[in-house]
Amino acid sequence: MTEQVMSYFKTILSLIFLGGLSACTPPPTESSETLTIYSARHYDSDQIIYQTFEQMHGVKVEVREANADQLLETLKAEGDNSEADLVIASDAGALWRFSDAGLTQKVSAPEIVSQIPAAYHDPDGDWFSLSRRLRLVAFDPDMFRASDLDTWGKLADPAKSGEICVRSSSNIYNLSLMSEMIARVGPDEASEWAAGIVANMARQPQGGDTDQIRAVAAGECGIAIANHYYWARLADSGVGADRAVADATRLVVPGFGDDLGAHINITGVAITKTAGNVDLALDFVSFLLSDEGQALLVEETKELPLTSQISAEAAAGDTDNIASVERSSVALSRFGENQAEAQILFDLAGWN
Amino acid sequence: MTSNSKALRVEAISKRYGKRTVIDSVSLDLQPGEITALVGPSGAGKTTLMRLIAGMEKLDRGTIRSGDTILSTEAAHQPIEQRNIGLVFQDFALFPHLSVTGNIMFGLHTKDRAERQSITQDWIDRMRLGNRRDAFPHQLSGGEQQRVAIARAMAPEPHALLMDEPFSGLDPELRHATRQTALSVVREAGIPALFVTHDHAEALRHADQIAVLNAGTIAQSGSPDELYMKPNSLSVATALGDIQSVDTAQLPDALKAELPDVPKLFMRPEALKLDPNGQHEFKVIRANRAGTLCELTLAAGNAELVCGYILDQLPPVNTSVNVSINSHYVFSWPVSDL
Amino acid sequence: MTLSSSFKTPIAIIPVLVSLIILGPVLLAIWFGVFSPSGLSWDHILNNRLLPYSLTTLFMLAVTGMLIVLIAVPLAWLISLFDFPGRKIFEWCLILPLAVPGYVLAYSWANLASVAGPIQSAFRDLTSLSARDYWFPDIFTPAGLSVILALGLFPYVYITARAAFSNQSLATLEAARSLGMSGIRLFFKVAIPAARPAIIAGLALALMEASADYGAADYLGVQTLGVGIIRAWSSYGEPTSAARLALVLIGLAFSFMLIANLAQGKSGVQQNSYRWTTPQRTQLTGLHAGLACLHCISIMLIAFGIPVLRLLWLCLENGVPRRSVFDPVISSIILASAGTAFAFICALTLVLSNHYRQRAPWITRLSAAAGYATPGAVLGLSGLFLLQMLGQSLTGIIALLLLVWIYASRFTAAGTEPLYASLTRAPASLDHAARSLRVGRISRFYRVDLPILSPGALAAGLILFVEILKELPATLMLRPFGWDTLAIRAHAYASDERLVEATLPSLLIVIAGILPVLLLSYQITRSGEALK
Repeated sequence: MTEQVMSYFKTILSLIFLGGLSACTPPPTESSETLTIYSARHYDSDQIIYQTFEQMHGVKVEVREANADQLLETLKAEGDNSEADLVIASDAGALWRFSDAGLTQKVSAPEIVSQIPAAYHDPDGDWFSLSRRLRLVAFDPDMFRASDLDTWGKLADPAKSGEICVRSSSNIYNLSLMSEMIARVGPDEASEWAAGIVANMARQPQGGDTDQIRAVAAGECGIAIANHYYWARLADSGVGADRAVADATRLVVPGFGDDLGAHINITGVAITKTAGNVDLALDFVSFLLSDEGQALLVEETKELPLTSQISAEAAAGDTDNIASVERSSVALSRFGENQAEAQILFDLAGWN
Repeated sequence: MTSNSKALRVEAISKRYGKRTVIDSVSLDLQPGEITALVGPSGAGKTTLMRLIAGMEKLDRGTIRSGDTILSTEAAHQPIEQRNIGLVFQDFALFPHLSVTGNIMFGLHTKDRAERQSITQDWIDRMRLGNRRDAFPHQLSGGEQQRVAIARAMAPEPHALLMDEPFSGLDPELRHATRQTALSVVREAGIPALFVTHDHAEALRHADQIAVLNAGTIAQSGSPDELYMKPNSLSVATALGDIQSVDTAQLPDALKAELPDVPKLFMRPEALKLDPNGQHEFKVIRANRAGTLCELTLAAGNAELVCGYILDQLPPVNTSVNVSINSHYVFSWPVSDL
Repeated sequence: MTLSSSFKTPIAIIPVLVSLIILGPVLLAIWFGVFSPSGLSWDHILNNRLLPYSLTTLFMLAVTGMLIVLIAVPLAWLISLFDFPGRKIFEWCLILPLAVPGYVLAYSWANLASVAGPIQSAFRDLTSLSARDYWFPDIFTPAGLSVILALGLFPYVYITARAAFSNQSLATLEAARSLGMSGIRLFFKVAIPAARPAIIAGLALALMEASADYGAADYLGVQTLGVGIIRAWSSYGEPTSAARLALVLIGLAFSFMLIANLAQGKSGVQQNSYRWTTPQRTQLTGLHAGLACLHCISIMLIAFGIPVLRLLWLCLENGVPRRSVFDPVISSIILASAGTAFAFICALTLVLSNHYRQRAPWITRLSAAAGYATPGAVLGLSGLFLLQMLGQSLTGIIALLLLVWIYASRFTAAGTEPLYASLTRAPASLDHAARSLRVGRISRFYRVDLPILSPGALAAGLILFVEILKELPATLMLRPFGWDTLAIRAHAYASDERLVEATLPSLLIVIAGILPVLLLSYQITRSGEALK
């Protein structure tokens, strides 16, 4: 009979345990307001943003961090039950996927929109830009001059054969670059460009952006395609070897061979369809666009601020004057719309 | 003899596993103070019979009773824990987490504290375990483990004791002493005891009664002398000692004339006496010592006969010896029994 | 045994229920994979991805398996049959790599072996060659992934092979020696064939773990089925396509489970308890001793010392991280404790029911192994399906309970092993002995079963805790709001190209894993002696 008794005992124990567990989790407090944010960023400085906002508005901020794809799937799976109010993602293409899936809502907020430079508006008004991210080239100054690399087209030139390090084509930063390329020069020329890059690769795509910059410093290749802040973080690193990598490389922001500006991506925020308190959500967006919010947004990430010039240069560790580069007028939503086509063209070009 | 000693009676019990009958209508009487040895070839059902009596298995037919108490019938099965039958296992089954004292005391939970301790102390003394009382089973020698196992089984004053090959795991030197201790303890308690063994010398020497199990049935049971001298079948004779089969046709006529007129005979080594006046003269093919006895292989006609003797000196090979027949040790059984 | 009567009561259903709890998510994943309608991307995945995913996975498993055998078997041979300086230390510490999850090894070795990493930099400094002038093995490849996984998983085979070498084949080895066979021939002609079932059993377990890997493959950019399942869910947004891909992985893992079970049956674990002897080890001296010692040290360094020290170095070099790991530590502890408690109860129920019942229903013997064989990503998928069916969000308590359930489904088997191991100290005759001494069921549980199970229970608890602590894919998919564990944090940072921030959570996981691994090692070493 021992087993029987023990089995009962165990069942009861497990019920008590799980019950206790649920008691430990704070029940959703209806009275005190909660702002629930799904964020694709994982920065320590973001915690300060949330805490500051909590104190300013006397509300509670709950955050779920995951990569954008996972947040999207989570939101889809949760449907109307989702408690999310805001989604923060570090790419216009990613934000477009949220709005395309019908998970965001358009909010009329002229005073917010007016703070954001025109080139950074979402034409559909589904989300707001918060900060700038430049995709650029880090190169070995012993082998190249900036003028050799000042358009994306020049990278596909056969003279750069065996010189390019770049990450895999499934990465959203590459997809967004290709999406803009398609918008600017059309799919045929964009395909040729991708094929040219593949032909010039020093090695098969591997690792992240930082790995590409490091490979230039190590001498495996002469040219790395990367986002600017990865370089900036190396330059600002506490580790001597990292700073040496930055010292050994120079930056150039390539154009598209016209005067229409560079490929600049954003970190942005969208208000979800299920948002309970739209006004509070908008307050949070306003805070992020304020000087204080902008400073906190870019402090650790080394992104470039959008509405304020404060700390822009410090933020970028700007030795190559990249902070002043202008964005093209290609709508940011195109990054998302062209994404599927970009992936197909990359696949056809053999860009792994 | 303690007051609660009762006979253990096994009456016509049967046990099947699926279609195979492993115990077939077995009856056995175990008297208080008597030690019964259960012998038989591997697979004869010795362990199953023991498990049935212990209550580890349910029987399909028959009755097992202890005195007036019914332990097992087809319909009712008294669980092991209510039978009060002591068990000693081949692997001893000592509790690895308990010391010698803890093991012996294990079954005394119904007694009060003082009694528990005095009984345990008594058993530790009787089994000469005084200096090992705090040792754990894995620190004990085989003989010590055996003594703990017996003390543990005997401490709660069981109505009967069952032992499954209790001495087989011990070294030969240890074996004799341990066996003496164990069996004397059982005899003193005056309870019926049953032990399974492979060793016929052990059975003959120590049991009051021997039961030979063959293919699930009791081939024969009785006193050791009776079974040794008057086995009712080849299986019983084999279970209790060396025996050789002899093709009568191969024997010289003179020898044949003194033996029963059957095609096949069975002889124990004692069957041919070394006798200077013996009428038969056989050549020695091999001669060697086998413990107390010397073993001679003799050429008798076309047959080779093995005989055992107590000799001071081995006869040289190829010499002849004179022998006579001791027909007490010559057996023949109807062909159907072979 | 006569307990069957008592199992005719409804209580007999409890082990079956527990089995169903464990099997539930596995069956659900299979059901969804087979019956749910195709998603839009399924054709694309079927035509373009399924074959590469499967081939990569098979290649990775083949190379991993080969490497594991090459590392573990000679090591086990050396440790069990020879004596040399440090042997006693190596004997237990060679199991330490089990404490390091595959993804942590990948972070560290990718950093060490990349073109800009310390090894290649030092090489260039020494030779004044440029990065283009020499070839260096590339870790961001299926072969690189195989090396990483083999380094983390070889102890599975080391443990089983060592047991085989030091026990049942000993007599055979001595017989072979007496017939004039020695050295390498002895190893290949006698030792390996005798230990083969044990090696295969250990290898199948290791490959089961390898096929369940997500973190290392994802970090190294190797497109295995495990990565494919998460991608199908997160990039293509199609859980049903993910479930179909999962079918392939489940098939693969189940065949390993089958192989492990068959091999275990053949390995003849039962030893004659009277014949246990510690093998007479050949004493190595001079050069041979030095080489043996060096070999063990090298493997320890490559699989454990260097990668862990590298992470420690990266962590300390950059000073104390700003973001506190307090929250993820608490989340990890709570989730792992809850999962451990639930899985432990399941394990105990199954172990006791199988131990005391001669003919336990097949489901109670199979369920734990099936759950263990099913990769975390697949079970996580089941959790998501359930969540959807219940109309619940990931923010709620339901998600938390589901995750705990998934943990139990995945890891109950890890808890049953040490419990079964302690019960081997308790042959069935022990229970009969207690019963013949007129001790009832309840008392027997407290006076016999519990004391005998307790060392195993401690090991089971610790192993469960650490396994759950290391778990990545299911936690990634199901963790409720604000319940980032150390594994999640390490993965997020590492994927974000911020290895330095990933070091602290990674190191905490490793440190938490060391204690149970040492305990396990101690138990394994001691279990031999206890049989005496």
